[in-house]
Amino acid sequence: MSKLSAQILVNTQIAKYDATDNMPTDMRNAAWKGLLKFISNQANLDAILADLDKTQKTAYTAA
Amino acid sequence: MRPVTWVRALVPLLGVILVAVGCGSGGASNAGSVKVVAVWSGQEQASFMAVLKPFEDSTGIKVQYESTRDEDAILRTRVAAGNAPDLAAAPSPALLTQFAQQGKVKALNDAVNMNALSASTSSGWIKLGEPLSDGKLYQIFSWAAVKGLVWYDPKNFSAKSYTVPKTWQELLTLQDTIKGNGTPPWCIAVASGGAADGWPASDWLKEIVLSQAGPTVYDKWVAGTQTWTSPEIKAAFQTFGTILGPNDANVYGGKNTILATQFGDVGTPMFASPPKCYMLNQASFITTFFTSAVPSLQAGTDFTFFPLPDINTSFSGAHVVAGDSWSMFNDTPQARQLIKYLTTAPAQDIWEAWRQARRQQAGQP
Repeated sequence: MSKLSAQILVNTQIAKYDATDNMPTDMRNAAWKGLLKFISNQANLDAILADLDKTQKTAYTAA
Repeated sequence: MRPVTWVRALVPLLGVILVAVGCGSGGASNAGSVKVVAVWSGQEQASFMAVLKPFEDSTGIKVQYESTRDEDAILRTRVAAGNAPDLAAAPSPALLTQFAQQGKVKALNDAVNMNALSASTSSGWIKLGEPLSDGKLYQIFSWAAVKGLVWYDPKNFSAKSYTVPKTWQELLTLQDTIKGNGTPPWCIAVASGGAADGWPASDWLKEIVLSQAGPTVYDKWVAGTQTWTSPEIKAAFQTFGTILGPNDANVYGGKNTILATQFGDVGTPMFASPPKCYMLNQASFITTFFTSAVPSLQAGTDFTFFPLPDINTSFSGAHVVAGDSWSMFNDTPQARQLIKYLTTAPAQDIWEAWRQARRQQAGQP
């Protein structure tokens, strides 16, 4: 397994840090909550995304 | 599998890349000191000191450690005041970029054997440490991992002749096959209590955004310039929806179980007999939860993993990663020796055991 793990690291051609860790706190918390809402009701996606856009407008300027 | 084996896997990547510096004859009284700043305090600090002790004992170099709750803030202040630490846990990507632009952080290229690094590590990892994309390396990992791994019980797979999917389409076909045979393919658990509820679901989303829409969209999304309602991010949610399935029927227990189950308990139904699910997606720390719930489980025999297949092959080998990395602000022989030590096997063994304990205490990775 450690061999497999090393192989995956070597095969990682595009590496990015955790997105939500690098978002402002309000954005991160809203993203987590939005995902809970999505799991609860996938049909509600557009409303969830619109709410996240609202948070995005304020979270970055406050940071 | 013991936690340290993960670290051993990294040794070939990192252990060979640093050029030995200084004579390092142990215990010299004039060996000097190195100032280090990182975020760990309390018990974590004590653990970090345990990592450092063999270095101090063998080199005689004294590590002057300063703990901060806000790494970026203290580095900004101290760098501006001309009082930077010699070595620091790497700041946020944005601040590291800024320091590099201002020449406030030292390139590691001549402290590191770049040829060996390039030979043993993928360009993706090196790029994380090259914020200006100018070939200058400003951070190096002492610990690194890919976050999104799909865990499964190979005995369960072979009992049903399921094979590890190599493409995204094969993964979708496999989940349909498993479901067709009467068992939900996935276990997902996103509860972690309090404000962090939901983070394990975000691990799915991040991996999908990166692999499906690519690094440019991912970076804009992090920076707040890619809207959530944009087609790319909406499509990522929809792809996550194809994992959940219509009415979350691809997941053991459906939404109620997903939302109510603590993330650490995600694997327990997979190890039931007969299994209640066949796969789960989580970072490598999850194995400590597997074995604390079911102590008889053996790594390799009872659980192993595959990386999430590429969704869009234009972005082949794209993964969200995590790690502890270091940046150098004063180029001293002592700082170079410490950075070398922190990327060696003995330090990483202590380090990994400590990381596992930290994660379990914090309730998240």
